[in-house]
Amino acid sequence: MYCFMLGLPDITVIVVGGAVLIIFFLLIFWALSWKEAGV
Amino acid sequence: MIAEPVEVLLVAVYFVAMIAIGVWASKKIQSMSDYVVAGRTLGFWVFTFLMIGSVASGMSLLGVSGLGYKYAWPTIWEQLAVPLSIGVCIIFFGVKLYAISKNSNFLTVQDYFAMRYESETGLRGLSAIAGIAVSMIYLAGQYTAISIVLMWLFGIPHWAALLAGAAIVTAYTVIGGLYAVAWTTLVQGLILIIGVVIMAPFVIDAAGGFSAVNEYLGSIDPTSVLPWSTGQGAVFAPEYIVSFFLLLSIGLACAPHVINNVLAAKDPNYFKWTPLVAFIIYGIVMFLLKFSGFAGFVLVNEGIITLPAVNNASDFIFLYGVKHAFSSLMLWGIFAVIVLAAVMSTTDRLMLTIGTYFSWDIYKKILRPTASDDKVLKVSRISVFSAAIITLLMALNPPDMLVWLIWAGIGIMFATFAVPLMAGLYWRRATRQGALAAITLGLGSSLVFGGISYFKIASLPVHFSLYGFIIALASMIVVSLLTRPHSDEVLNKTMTGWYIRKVE
Repeated sequence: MYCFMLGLPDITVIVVGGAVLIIFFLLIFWALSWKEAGV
Repeated sequence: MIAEPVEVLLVAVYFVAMIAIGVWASKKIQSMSDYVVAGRTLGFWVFTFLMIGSVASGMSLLGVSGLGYKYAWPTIWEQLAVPLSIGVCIIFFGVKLYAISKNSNFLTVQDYFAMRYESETGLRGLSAIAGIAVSMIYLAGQYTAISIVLMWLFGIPHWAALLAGAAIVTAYTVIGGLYAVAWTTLVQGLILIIGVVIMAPFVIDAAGGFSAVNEYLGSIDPTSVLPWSTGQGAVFAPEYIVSFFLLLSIGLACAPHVINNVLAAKDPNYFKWTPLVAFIIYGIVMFLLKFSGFAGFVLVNEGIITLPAVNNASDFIFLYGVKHAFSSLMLWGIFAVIVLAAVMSTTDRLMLTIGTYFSWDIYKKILRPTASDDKVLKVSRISVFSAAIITLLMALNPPDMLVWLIWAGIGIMFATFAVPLMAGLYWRRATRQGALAAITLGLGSSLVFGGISYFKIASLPVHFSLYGFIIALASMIVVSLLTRPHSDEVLNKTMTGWYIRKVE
C-alpha cells in the first residue's frame, strides 16, 4: 500500500514516523520529569 | 563556476563578521577557564546553539544530502540519530559531568577521567592523545567540506580553498576561544537554519515536490523508498542501520568537541529543555537536507543538472540543486555563506578541543604543572594553529565520500570514549586499568576494522566502529573485574552509580 499523500509505502511512513514520535515523547518526558532541586 | 563580485562580497562580509566576533570575544578572556569553557557563562540559546553547531557539521549540508542522493530513504535514520545525540550527550553524560565539575572545577573531560580513575598522567594523557587523534580525523572531513564549497563558488583549486577556509576559522578560534566559538556558532546556526528552511523547499519543488520525488524514486528502485535496504549487497541493511544509529547517537554524544560544551553552561536547568529544543530545530534542518538529496537524484537522473566529474561528486548535490533552483547570483552568495557557516561551526569547536587537550591536559597537567595561566593560554593558541596545519595536510587527498571520513571520525570516537565514560559514570566497579584497556583497545581495534572496511579487505555487515566498541566494552568489564576497585571516597565524590541525578 502507498500512502497517497507522500508517495511512500505505508511501512516507511509508519516506521520512520513512529520513531520520530517515540523520540519526541521520550524527550518531553525527560523535560517534564526534571526537578529544580538537585544537581 | 567563476564567482561574481557580489558573491565574493557576501563571503567576505561573512568572514569579516566572524573575525569581528573573535576580536570582541578575545577581550573577555582573562584566564584559561574563560578560553576553554567561556567562564561557564553561556546562556540557554547560546548553549543550545553551541550544541547544535558542534554536531551540525560539513556533513549536514553536503554529506547528508549526498548520502540521500546516493542511497535514498534507508539513510533517513541519520536524521534521527544525529539530532538525538545532543539529548544523549546531555542526559546520560552531561548532567552528571556538570554536577561533578561544579564541585571540582573541571575544564575538560580528561579532568574527570583523571579524578574518577585516579590517574593524573596515564589515563589523562592517553585519553587526551586519543581525543586529539580522533578530532583530527574528523577535522580533516570538515576541511574537505569547506574546500568543496569554496571550490564550487570561486573555481579555485582544492588546496587554495582549504587554505582560505582554514585561515579564517583558525584566526577567530585562536584569538577568541570558546566565547568566539560559541557566539560565532549562534550566528552560524541561525544562518544555517533560516537558509535551509528557505532554500531546501525550492530544491524539492524544482524536482516536482515531495510526493512526486518519492514516487519517482520508487519507480526507479522500489527498495529505495523503504526504511532499510534489502537484498544482496544492500548497504543499509537493518543490522547496519542499528550500528549506524548507535554510532551517530552515542558516538557524537561522547565526542570530545561535543561533550566538553556541557561544562560551559551557566545553569544546569538548561539541561531540561535543550535536548528537545535541539532535536526539533536540528531535526527539521536535517530532514529538509536529506529530502533535497532525494530531489537531487531526480534532477540528475532526468538530466536537468550534471554533477562535476570529481570522485566525491555526490557531496555536491545540494550545491547544484540550489544552483538550479535559484537563478539569482545574490542568492548563491548567501547560500555559500550558509554552507560555510555549517561547516565552520564544527571546525572551530574541534580546533579548540585539540588546543585545549594539548595545552591543559598534556602540557599543564603532565609536562609543566607549574606553568602559569598565561603560558598555558599561549600554548593552547599555538596548538590550535598547529592542529590547523596538520589537518590541512591530511585533507589534501579526500576520500570518495565526505560522509565516510566524517563517520570514521565519529566511529573512532564511539569506540574510544563511550565505554570509559559510561562505565566511569555508572559502574562503581570500573577501574583505571579497565579504562586504559578500553581506550587502547577501542582505539586500536576501530582503526584496524576501519582499515579493513576502507581498503575493502573484507565486507563488514555493521559499521566498523561497532567492533571496536564491543572490544572496548569487553576489555573494560574483564580487566575491571580482575583489578582492585577504587575507594568509596573517590566513587562518591565522582557521583559514580546507577543514577543520572539525585534529587534532594
